Amino acid sequence: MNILKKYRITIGFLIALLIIVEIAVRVLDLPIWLFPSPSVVISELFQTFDELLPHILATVKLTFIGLIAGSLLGFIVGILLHLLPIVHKIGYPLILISQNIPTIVLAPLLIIWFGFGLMPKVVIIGLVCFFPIAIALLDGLRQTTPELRQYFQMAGATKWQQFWKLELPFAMPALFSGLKIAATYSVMGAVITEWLGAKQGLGVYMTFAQSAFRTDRVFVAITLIVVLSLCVFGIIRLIEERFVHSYKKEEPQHANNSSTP
Amino acid sequence: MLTIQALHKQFQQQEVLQGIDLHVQDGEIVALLGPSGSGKSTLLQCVGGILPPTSGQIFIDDTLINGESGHISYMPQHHCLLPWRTVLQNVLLAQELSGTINKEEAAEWIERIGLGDYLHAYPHEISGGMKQRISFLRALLSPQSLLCLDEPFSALDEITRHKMHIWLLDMWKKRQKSILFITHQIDEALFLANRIYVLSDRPAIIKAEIQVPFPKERTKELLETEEFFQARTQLLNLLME
Ligand SMILES: Nc1ncnc2c1ncn2[C@@H]1O[C@H](COP(=O)(O)OP(=O)(O)OP(=O)(O)O)[C@@H](O)[C@H]1O
Ligand SMILES: [Mg+2]
Repeated sequence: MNILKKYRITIGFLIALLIIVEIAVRVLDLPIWLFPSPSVVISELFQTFDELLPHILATVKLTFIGLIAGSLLGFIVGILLHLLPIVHKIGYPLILISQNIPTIVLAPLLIIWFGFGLMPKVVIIGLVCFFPIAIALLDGLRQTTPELRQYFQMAGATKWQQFWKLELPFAMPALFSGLKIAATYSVMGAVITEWLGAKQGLGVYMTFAQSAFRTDRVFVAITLIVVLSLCVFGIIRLIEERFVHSYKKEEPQHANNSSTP
Repeated sequence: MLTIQALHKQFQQQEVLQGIDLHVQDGEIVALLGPSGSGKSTLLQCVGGILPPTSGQIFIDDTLINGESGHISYMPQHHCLLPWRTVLQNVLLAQELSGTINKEEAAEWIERIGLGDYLHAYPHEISGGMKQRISFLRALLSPQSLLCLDEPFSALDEITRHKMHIWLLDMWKKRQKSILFITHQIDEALFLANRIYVLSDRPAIIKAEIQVPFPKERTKELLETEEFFQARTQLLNLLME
């Protein structure tokens, strides 16, 4: 209920937009294959939901496996770049360059190497997701307040203690910013890899719908993809609130203290 | 306890410390009084082992500790509490770093300084004075027996600061430690310390060493006595020279 309250303006705006589109489509009398009205899309969604469910589950599974793989990779890469100067010197430019290669062009190679199964898809999603996480984490680790760092050194902390007890917790908010970007990428990545070849998934469903000129179903797929993205994002937000609860309020301490309860 | 001999510190061409000799005895409170920018923090950082001295020796109990950290407990100017740790967890931090944790004792002390209700509060939920007390407690409860304070209360308002002085002396009586603290406030140095070292402008040398003539028991009435006033004037003149 809280969420409804918090986003009531956004939700109101969306509903108004849908109503306007609905009216426009009816007034202009657009054919269903060109631009189906929202009501048609929604009723199609509910009527064929049983049929859709396996596709949704397939995409959800792929998204999560890909996101988790990408997060682990990003986490490890971020930490290695931070802790080992040599890795940073060699690895950082390589990673930047690698981001200029659209990951999707790797798809044919990955399919040759790993076949059409889950593996190449997870690799692609992982490659898409790891970058924002690694960079955000690295930045967070680097930005640790110098005074805190100095306190740790004066108190005789080892490098390792400094990392676990100071730098890593300090970088958590940054890590979560990266995770949120990666979360949005992951759904997109999952759908695109499904286009490349899969038995099930919203990407597959979309391709079928498109070749059959079932524009209403394309819209159903788009709607579901948006909802899925929001859900993944929301889950990350929930985890963030659970674990990073006390960080943010402290940070703008000089700006205003009145907002703290 | 602590002995510093002929300590020099130079940054590039800039000479900051020019031969400092000082010592702190067991259970003594020593103040390091000097103008801003004279190199007081630099001196503490040398003692703390995070800056290697250009020359000179630092001993703790006859062990040379040049460039070695972990021999002192430290209270920084800004409280440096970790925002993601509760009050109790913050107090335990210094113990965690040196490997001996005593949670019950820490909780007991927090209770004793009147912050029992805030045991599980986060730093942003408590006042500046409380943060400073927690930061001090964190240093007090770490196992090292020399406590170094860098302008411990300079961020507080006058009244709170004075309360903290009385509180600090009380704490110090309860748990015998040697304290070396930095200040640029004459009153603070006189009220808290047994001995005061006066530093010159940069490059810093010890201009004077003053034995504070007041008894060990100090109350706020001391601030109004003629002796206090005279000592204050004498110190001020020394600093202005
Ligand atoms: N890491 C460093 N590199 C170069 N110069 C430094 C460094 N640290 C300190 N200094 C110089 O040493 C001088 C003394 O600094 P320090 O912080 O020790 O002064 P301070 O007595 O603590 O002053 P304050 O009372 O303002 O805290 C300053 O002029 C500063 O420019
Ligand atoms: Mg200083």
